[in-house]
Amino acid sequence: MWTELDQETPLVGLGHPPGGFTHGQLGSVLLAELPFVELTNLRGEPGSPGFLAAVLDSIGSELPTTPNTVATSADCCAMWLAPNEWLLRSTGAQPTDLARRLDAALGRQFFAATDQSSGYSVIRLSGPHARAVLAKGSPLDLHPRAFGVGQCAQTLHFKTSVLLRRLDLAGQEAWEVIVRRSFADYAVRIMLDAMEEYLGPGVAPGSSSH
Amino acid sequence: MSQSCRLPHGGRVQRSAPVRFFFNDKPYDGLAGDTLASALIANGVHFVARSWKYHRPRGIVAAGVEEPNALVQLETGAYTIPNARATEIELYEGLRATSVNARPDIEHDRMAVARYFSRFIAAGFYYKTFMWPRAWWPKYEERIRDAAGLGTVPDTLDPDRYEKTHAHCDVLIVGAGPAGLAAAVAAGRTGARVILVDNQPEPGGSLLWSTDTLGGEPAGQWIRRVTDELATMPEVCVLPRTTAFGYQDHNLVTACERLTDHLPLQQRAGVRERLWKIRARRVVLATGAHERPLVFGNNDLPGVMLASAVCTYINHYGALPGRQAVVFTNNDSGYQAALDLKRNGAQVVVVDPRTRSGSGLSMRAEQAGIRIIQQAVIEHAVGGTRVSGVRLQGHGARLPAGTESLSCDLLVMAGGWNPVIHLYAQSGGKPRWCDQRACFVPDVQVQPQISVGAANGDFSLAQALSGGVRAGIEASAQCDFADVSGKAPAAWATHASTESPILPIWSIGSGKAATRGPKQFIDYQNDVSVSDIHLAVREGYRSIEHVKRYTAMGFGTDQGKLGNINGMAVLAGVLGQSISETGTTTFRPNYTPVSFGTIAGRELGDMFDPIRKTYLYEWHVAHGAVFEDVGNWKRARHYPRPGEDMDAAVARECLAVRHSVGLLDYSTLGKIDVRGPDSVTFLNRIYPNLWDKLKPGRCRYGLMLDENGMILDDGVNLRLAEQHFLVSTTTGGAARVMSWMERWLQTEWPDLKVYLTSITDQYATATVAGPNARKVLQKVCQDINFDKEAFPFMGFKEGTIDGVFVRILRVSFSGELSYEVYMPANLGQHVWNLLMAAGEEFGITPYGTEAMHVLRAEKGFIIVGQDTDGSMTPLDLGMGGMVSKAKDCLGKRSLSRSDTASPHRKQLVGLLPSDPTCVLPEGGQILNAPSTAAIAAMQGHVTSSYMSPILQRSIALAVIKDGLNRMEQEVTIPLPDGRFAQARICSPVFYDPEGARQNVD
Repeated sequence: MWTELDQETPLVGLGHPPGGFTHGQLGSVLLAELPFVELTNLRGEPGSPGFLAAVLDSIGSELPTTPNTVATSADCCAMWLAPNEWLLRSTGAQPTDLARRLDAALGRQFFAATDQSSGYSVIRLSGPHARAVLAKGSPLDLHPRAFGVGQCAQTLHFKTSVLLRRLDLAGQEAWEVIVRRSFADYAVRIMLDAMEEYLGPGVAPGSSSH
Repeated sequence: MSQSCRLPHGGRVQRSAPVRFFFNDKPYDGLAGDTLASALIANGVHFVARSWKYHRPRGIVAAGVEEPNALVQLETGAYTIPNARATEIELYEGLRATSVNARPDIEHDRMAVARYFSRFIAAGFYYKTFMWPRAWWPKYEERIRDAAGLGTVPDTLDPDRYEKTHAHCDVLIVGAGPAGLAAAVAAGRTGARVILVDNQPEPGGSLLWSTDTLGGEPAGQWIRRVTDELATMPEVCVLPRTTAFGYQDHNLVTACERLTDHLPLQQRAGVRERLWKIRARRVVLATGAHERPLVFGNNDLPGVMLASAVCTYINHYGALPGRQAVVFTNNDSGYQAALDLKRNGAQVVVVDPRTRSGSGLSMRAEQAGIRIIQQAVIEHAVGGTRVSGVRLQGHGARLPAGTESLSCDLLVMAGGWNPVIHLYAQSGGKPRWCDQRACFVPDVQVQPQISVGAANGDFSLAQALSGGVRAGIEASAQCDFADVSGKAPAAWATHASTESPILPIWSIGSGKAATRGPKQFIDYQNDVSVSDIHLAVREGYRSIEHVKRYTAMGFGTDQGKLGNINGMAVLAGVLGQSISETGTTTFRPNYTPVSFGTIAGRELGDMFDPIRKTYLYEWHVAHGAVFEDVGNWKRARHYPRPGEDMDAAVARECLAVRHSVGLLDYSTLGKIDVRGPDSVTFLNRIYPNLWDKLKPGRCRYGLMLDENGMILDDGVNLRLAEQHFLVSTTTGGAARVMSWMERWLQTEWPDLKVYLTSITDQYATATVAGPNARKVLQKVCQDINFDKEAFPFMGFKEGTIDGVFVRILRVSFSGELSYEVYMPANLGQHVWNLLMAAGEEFGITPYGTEAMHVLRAEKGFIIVGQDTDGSMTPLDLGMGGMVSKAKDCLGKRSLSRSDTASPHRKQLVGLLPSDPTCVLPEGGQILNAPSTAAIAAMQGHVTSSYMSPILQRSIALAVIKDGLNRMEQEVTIPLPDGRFAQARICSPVFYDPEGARQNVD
């Protein structure tokens, strides 16, 4: 039977430290990979009778229906992607098999729940320069007046697309960046490069191997 | 070397900080705070350049960004910058610069003879002279470019780092002169987010050396107080050394920040330049104005300088541009220069075409004892490499006796002011000619912006300040930041002075004088003179845009900042129409040149385009894979062992699959989860074949057609449940197919209840192929029955490998017994390792995409995009049977058009070269017989071609006209070396045509 040690994150090429890849300093900018986060893509019609209630039962959280907002519960964060699409990010330590639970809960409703836990990399970027680093790759306005806690948005990070969410981290500038698995290595390498001017010179980890 | 023209005091230079620099290899001393231009002037150096076409001696004419002449090659080697403006280069220790366009050096310029036959190389000369013979043009061009070139591009890699960033604000203010600073502080106090960009090292603009007072406060003190206040505002960002060079749509302003160019080379570190892409809700343009030169004979001599530049060099840099000056002015600005010169000990004579007006500045000049010759103009200047005198002529009056000639070492021009309307015009605005102020001013606003101060034609300090404050408050209010607490700055009181109106003079004398007399230059950088404009009109050009292109006026690195308006006015005069009717040329980005480094930023090398990696990328690297790019993916192409070339490695990998078992990373294929009650209806409309009868647990191959019936993509689809499918796509087609399917769902069939979700990245795929594939899987997967009958071809099962959920398909792209294992990508490497270990006893061999291609070609399986090219139908591939007659689908109707239904189209066939060692070139054209004629009838082309290791001979796939009816016929393929290869048309299935091998026990 496989164990957690048998898993690999999309950032395996940057080294494979237990607990995930990290680089930088919180006093400036800190990148931290959050490995093996359970993610589930959910499609459904918010107006369809019983759909929102059944989801609430299943995940303990409302689904946000305001564009680019987030709803959170004890162990799940639901991010709005489209009028009929959400990304559910489990916040507990253990996988909760959310896609299968939704399958069971929604029965013969018109919906689709797909496990995406292996499909993305989840990155946290924090520190006073975090916003400046993201601003190099994203054309969105990331100022707290325009993009506050409780909001999320799909945007660009240089030439790949990412889902951004501002985190509520004790007044600290902090963001969660969710990027597709196959683009994660590119996204993080160019993010490390963007961080360099705030961290001083030095070779970004992993950038010299090949 | 002494700074012979450095004033004993004054200016903002640091007298305690001498700086050694080199110009044209000669050492000079300057001071910290100098520009290269001001340091040269402090050293008495005016002759700094040779002109572009005539190689005439040229001097420093301006003090800012509008400088057309003083272009230098700054530094050498990797750090070299061609055509840098000496007026903008901040002096640093060890700076090295050389004049451009002069070889071997400026004094002994070989091409200087050009000016003696300048009469024969007027506008249009190149077009007319080098037209014929046409084939010689490349040679001519090489020589012309060599003779007429400017700086030299670097020939080594740029070692500097460049960054780009996006920024957003409520109010963007361009220019930190009095108007811009007033706007910034007014906007900042409302709490709005403000960005203030300025192209100078420190804010203040013309106030930096002004003797004016603002609200009773000396200018310098006012600047400090305002900038200190801005620094305390958390939402205000001030960017010095930053040039806003482009005004794009949707209030996007692009600016370049220069971070290290002012430092000595060895002290530079970090980012050299940063591109700011600023999206502003409101823009305030406080970009100031450029002074106009006056147009008279030999107005390009070194020592001829703008009045504003003279004031700047004296007051800002403490450098005296000349000791015996003639000031030629048609407005009051020239008097300020006269006063500044006189105050610093120079002899000054003012030549003014107007009658005595008694305005403030002119009276002060009179009182200072400056001689003023009214109602006179300068006909032409004289001199060699420096102006030595002028010839005057009367203007509506006779010259006073003895004033026909004056000697001088400095000739100052004050021709009026051009508001810097470049950004306004780039924003889409059309400037309006104002007769009273004799300049173009901004008119109707097109994007949410406003021009203030001199940029708006409001040239007085009082107007700049009040306009700035008003714009700052209004722009903030439009962003919902009201000035609620009465914190708006009151307008600062300034000293008012009477001014007499400008008398525009666009050139001296008649058209004949302009043509015959000394050249009157309009555009210094491109050597365009008044006579060139006369010539253009004589040759029939009327539109300013055509005259510009015929004469090259306004081309070059300065884009005509100094001369264009004079040129338009001269053209208007020649055509006998108003300046308003003549109009301006188009102002386009970029306002000043922008380095390629800044445009590229950090997206270089491996970061130029995203590299997509599969779960197995690191394993591939560790096992010596050679990669190929497929879309953005890196796919392992083959795994050469020591001593193997690609052919040997591919042959070994192919034979391992044919004889035992191989393992392939197949993860890059697109995977789309299709779910909902109308899934079958949806797939029936998308694909030509029928999906109703496919049972859950079974797979089916599907071709996808576009509206024209042409093959768009293909893949194997799984029915997971009654209303749930998994569609697979080609690697390169994944995103296209997803968009294509979403487009039909959302725009044409919104009634269908179907959801599409990409799961390409979620699942890793490993293909286990070869006669021993089943045995390998049976070792690692116990909860699936792999028996032939229990798990038939085109079926799939779900189970576990070491507890990892897997979905296993029995499909084959190689013709062998083959399984595709889908697993969550996080555990993909683990499952792969288990498969490798289980296969060890069978010699399991990882194989790459090249072997995959050979194996499929041996079986005649197509690759969409290689064997098809957007003009192939299923019928052309011999797959007409896949088009269901029982239903309609996208593209089906197109298949019945006369051309697509014709039996004589190009059809997919196999080719067996007569020489079994000859691998035909892919893309090779197919002829019926060898031909060396220029035109031969093409029958088709080779689409795939390989050496087949199992058949031990070359094979190829091709599309050939009427190919299905031409079996066994011989065709000819011309080879790149001029020989011809013969080949026989055959079935595209070369190996195991009965399909027995995927059915082994």
